Amino acid sequence: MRERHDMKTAVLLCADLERLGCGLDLQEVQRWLRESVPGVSLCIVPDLEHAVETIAAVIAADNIVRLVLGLCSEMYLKAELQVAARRAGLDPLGIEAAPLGTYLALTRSPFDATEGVKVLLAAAVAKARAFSGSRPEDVKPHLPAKTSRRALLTLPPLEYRPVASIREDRCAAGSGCGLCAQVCPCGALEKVGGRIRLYRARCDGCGLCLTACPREAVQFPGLMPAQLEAQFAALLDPAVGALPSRGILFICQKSALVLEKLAGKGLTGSESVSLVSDQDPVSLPVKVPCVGIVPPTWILSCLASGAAAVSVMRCPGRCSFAQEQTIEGRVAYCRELLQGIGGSPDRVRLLQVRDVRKQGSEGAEVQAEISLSVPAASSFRASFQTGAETILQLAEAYGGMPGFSLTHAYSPFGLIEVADGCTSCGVCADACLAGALALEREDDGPSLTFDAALCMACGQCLLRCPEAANRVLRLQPITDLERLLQGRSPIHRDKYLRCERCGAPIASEAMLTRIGAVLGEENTSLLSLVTRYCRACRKWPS
Amino acid sequence: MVELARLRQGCYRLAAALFLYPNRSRWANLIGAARELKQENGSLGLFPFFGPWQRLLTTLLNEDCRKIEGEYIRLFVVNPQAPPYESFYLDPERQITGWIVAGLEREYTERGLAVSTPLQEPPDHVAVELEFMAFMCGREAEAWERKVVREGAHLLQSEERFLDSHLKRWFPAFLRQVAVTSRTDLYGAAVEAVYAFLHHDQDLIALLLKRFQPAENGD
Repeated sequence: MRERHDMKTAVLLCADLERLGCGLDLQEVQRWLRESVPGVSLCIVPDLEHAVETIAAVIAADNIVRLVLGLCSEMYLKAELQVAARRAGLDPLGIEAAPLGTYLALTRSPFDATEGVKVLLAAAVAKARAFSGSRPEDVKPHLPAKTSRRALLTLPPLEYRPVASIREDRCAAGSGCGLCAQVCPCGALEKVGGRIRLYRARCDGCGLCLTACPREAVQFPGLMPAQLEAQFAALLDPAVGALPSRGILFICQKSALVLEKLAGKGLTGSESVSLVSDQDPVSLPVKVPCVGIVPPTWILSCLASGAAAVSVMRCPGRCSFAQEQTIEGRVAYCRELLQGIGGSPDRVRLLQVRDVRKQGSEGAEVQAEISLSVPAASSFRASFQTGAETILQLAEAYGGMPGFSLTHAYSPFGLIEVADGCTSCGVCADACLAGALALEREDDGPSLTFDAALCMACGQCLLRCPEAANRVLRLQPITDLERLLQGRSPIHRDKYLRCERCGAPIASEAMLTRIGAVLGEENTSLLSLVTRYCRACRKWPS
Repeated sequence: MVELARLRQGCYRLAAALFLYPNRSRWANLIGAARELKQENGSLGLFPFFGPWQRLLTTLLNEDCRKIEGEYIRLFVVNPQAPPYESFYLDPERQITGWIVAGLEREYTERGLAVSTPLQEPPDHVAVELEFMAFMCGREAEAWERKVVREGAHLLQSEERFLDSHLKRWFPAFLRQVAVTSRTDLYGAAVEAVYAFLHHDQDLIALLLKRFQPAENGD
C-alpha cells in the first residue's frame, strides 16, 4: 500500500531517550525526519510517557490524524492518552508507539542507535498511515488485574485494547474450517453451527487466530496486512537510514518490556541478549502480541525482502499462550530450509533475553558470521498465498538445488497423495480452504488437481474425505521446490461410465465400484440399473 | 459506577428519542440535549463510541426538522423502508412474531412497566427497547447510590441478557437497512452511533460483571 503523505502525522520523541546509555543523537534524528519523511510535524518532549496534556495539545493544534510516539518504554499512560486523543478527534488506534526502548537495548554503537531509530520511526509513520480507521468491533475495554471492586465504584479511565473480529464474508467455517478455534488458547473462538462465534470477553488479544486463518478472515487492528507491509517496506528500505545491513527481530510485549528495562539500566548489545555478537546485523524490533503468530512465511519474506537476518525472541519464562514448541519448530524449519536451498541457516535465529543480574555472563553461544544479505527480490508480503513465491525467490537467489525437498512438522506447505479407492467425489476439493485441491470434470472423466504452492497442510481435506477410513488421501508436511514451481497438476484421474441409452456420463468408474461394494450381492439388479443408465434414462421397475 | 450508569441511561434515552417521531417538542428537546453533550465533550470521550456520537451530534444540529419528519415517515412508518421492529429482522417469515412480542411484554411487566398508551408502538419497537435499557440503567444507578453491590450486579446481568437476547441480535441488520435506504445523513449517523454504543455497552457490562459477580453471593 502506498504511503499517504497527505495524512498529517505528528512524531513526538521522548527527550529521555538520549539518556539510555547508547549514544543516540536525537537532534540528528529530528533533522533527518524533517528532511526525509514528508508530512510530519516533530516535537521532542521531556518525560513523554506522562505528558498526556502535551500530546493532546499537539493533536488539537495541527489537526493531526496519525500520531507516532518515540518512547523509552511501553509503560505510558495508555488509558489517559486514549481519552485525550479521542477528545482531540484522533482515533486512538491511529497512534503507533515505535519500540525505541526495546531497540536501544540491542544496539552496540551511537551510529547503530541513531540510524536504527530513524528507520523505526519511518516504519512507525508508514504503519500509522496504513491504518484505515477502526470499527466498534476492533477494541474492547480492559481493567488492570489489580483493580479492586472498591476502586471500580469510582471507575478509573479504561484502557481499550485491540481484539480480533471475524469477517463473515471470508470465513470458511460453513465449509468445515475451524482452524482459528483450534489455535485459540483462551477458548474465545468456537465453531457453532457453521459459523465462528467470538467470545469477546475471553479474547486476550494474542493474535494467533490471525495467521491460522487461510482466508484472511480474521482482522486484528495493528496487524492488518496493509499495515505490516507498509512497516516492513520502510524497515528494509536501504534508502531509509544508513544502516549497512539490518535484521528483523520479532518480539512479544513481555520480552520487549524486559529489554526496555535493561536499556533503562544502560545495558545494551550483547550485555542484554545472548546470541548477539559484533558480527550480527542490527536487529530492528517488530513487536507482536505473541511471537507464536509469526508464520515461517513472514520470516522468509523478510529475508527475501533484503533482511540480513531474522530473529525471534523467546518469552522470558513461560509463554502465556504456550507457544514455545511452535516457535522453536518454525525457526527450526526455516533454518533447515535455508540450509537446503544454499543459504546460511544462521540467518534465522532464536534469541533469549539474558539474565544480566549474573556477573561474568557467558559470551555468545554462536558466533554467526553473517555475510552481506541477498539483494531484495521482492517486498514483504504478509499473505500466506505468496509464501511459495518467496521460497522460490530465495532458492533462486541462493542457487539452491531444484530437487530440494524438506519434510518437517512445521512446514507451512503440504503434499497430497491419492491412493486407490478415490471415487472423485470432490468433497476434498470443496473442503480445501486455500483452493489447492480442485475437481475438474473433463470430457472423459473427472480429474482431481493439486497446486502445492497453495496447500497449507491444514488437513481439512482428510477430515472430510468419505473414504478416510481407507486412507485414500494422504497429506505430508513437505516443502518441495519442484512441486511449488510446478503449479496445478492432476494427482488422480478416472473415467466416466456412460449411459447405454444416451451416452451421458453416469459417474466415475471408482464411484460406481464403491456403490457396488455398498449395495452388495443382494442388489445386483439395482446395481445393474445404476451402472448402465443415467438418472434421466433409468426406468425403475414398478 | 453511579455516574457511569447515569451516563449510560442518558445515552440510551437519547438513542430512544432519535427513533421516535420528531414532533416539534421532541425535536427541540433533542437539539437541546445534543448541544449540551457537544459542549460538555468530557464524559463521552472516555469511550470509543465518542467518534460516532460526535458525528451524530454534529449532524443533528445541522438538520432541518421538517425534512426529518418526512424522512422518518418514509423510513419507519408508511410502507417503511427500514422497519424499526425486532420481529421484522428476527422473524422475516412472520411465524413467531407473537412469541417475540409476548416475550418482550413479559420482560417489561416483570420490571413493573407497560408500553405507554400515547406512544402506540409495539413492545419490539427499537425506541421501546432502548428506553427499557435506559430504565434498567436508572435502576442500576440507584443500586450503586445505595451501595447495594449485589443488586447492581444483578441488574448488570439483566442488562446483559436483554442486549444478548434482543437489541444486539437485530440492530446490525436494522443498521444495514437504514444505511441502504436513508436519504438524509441523520438516520445513518444515528444507527452507526447507537450501534457503536451498544457494542461497547455489551463489552463493558461483561467486563464489570467479571469483577462484580462474586458479590452476588453476598459479600
